[in-house]
Amino acid sequence: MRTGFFREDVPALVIVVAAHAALFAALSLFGKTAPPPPIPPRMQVTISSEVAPTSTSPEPAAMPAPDIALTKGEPAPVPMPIVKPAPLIEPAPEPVPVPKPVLVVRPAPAPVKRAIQPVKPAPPIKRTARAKPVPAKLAPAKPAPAAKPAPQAKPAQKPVAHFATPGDDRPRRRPDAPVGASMVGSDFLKGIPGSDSKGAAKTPPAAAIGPAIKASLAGAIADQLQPHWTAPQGVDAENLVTVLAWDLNADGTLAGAPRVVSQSGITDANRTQAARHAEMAVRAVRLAAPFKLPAQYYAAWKRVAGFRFDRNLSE
Amino acid sequence: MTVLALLASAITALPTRLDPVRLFLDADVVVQVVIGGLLLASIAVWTITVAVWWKLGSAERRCKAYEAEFWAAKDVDAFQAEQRKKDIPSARVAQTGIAEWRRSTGGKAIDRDGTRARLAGAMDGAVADEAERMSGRLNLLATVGSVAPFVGLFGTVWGIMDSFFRIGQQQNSSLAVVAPGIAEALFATAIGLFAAIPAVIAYNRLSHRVNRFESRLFRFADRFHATLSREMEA
Repeated sequence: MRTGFFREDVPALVIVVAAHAALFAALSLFGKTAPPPPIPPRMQVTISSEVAPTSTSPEPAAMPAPDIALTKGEPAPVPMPIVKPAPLIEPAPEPVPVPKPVLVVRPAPAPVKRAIQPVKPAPPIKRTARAKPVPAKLAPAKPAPAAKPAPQAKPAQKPVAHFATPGDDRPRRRPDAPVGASMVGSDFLKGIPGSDSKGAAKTPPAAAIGPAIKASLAGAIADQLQPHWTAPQGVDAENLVTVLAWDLNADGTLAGAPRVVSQSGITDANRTQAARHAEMAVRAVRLAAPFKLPAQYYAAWKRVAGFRFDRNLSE
Repeated sequence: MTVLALLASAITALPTRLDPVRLFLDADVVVQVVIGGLLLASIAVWTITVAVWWKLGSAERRCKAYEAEFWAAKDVDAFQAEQRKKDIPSARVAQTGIAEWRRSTGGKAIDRDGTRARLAGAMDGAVADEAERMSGRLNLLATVGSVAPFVGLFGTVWGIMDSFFRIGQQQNSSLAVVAPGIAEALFATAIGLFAAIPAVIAYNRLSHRVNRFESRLFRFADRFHATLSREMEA
């Protein structure tokens, strides 16, 4: 009885067990929620010894060249529309693209057309054709696009591309037709990279092979060789380096036997291992063939000019 | 490649928060036993603490009320008979004294010194009995307070040994492999401290209260002893 149970024990036990359960439930339900750590993106790193001085990828942002180049001997188009129409016959079409209904009277198509024609045949025609059905509404705004193409050769490209879209049944001239003094068609850049018109070639140009691709090709070859390559063991054997060269067919099989290009790191201690080292390297290449490499870069890997077999490759 | 896949799965399966239930379920079986034992110890500690606290509180309150009435009572025997059913430590001490006094003074010749000594001894014994009743289970608090950290530490050491063993098996010392095992192991120490800290505090506090309660009973017993002693002289 002395250390027996008290009457208070039962309610105390109930309360305490409930409190413990509540505490742990609270900890597991409303515990401090750490934000899940972001998994760092894994990137493949290839170490390239070469540095490409120029980009090997096409530049999508490059602006296409103007369709029609200026012909030698023609007057420069820029001063003409500004100088000629301004003082003489009528209010000049403002070169600024801001529409000013008050000042600008709709210009007669003739002088503008004459001014522009050497540069770009299409827009004046289009403008004229479009301006006529709705003269009241469009007239004030029209001078702007008409004047803009004149000094700048770059925007002249846009209407031509616009004309090429099907379904546009407004009267127009063939954009290809040489107009005015220029005898150069708008398709003279066809097939040239950077031109927006399609070339005649059915296949894309050969993939440019940059140092990054070469490095990853070397990595792929190393990956496929690694399971078959074991460096011989022995004193100073880790110093041995055998450089092999071999040719590959397009399907990855060996074309001919691998050749030993050079061997280095030979000391007196490992001289006996050197031949075996080269033999093992050749064996590794034979076992690893056929190599699985991207076919579009066959030009880069059809001849493996010198591949180092050393201790690092087996690790 | 397999190591990477394993690692990726381990990373995606990582808990996003510190969930004690999850930690317990993931732990090694020895660590689980340790944690379970420490949880039981914690429950026992708190149960004893709460029960003894209530018991001391109600005992002190009833003793106070009883003693006030006891000194004011005209007929002690009738008062004692009335209070006997209630669980009052002071009443039991007083009853022991009265019984001893009755026995000692029942005969023809009264040995006053002997009676005084017997009265003092009987009532001291009753007081010690009451105090012991209160403090009887406090030693469990002391035990848990001193041992629980070590038990938790044992669980942690075992858990860390286990996780190092697993690291050696997987041949991968990445933090994602090491960390969960160590967290589970450290959970044992956390539970050990969780049980030990309240136990130590409760032990000190309750020992102090039991001592105070015992002194209070001693004072009552001394005063009653003085009263009985005066009674014998009359």
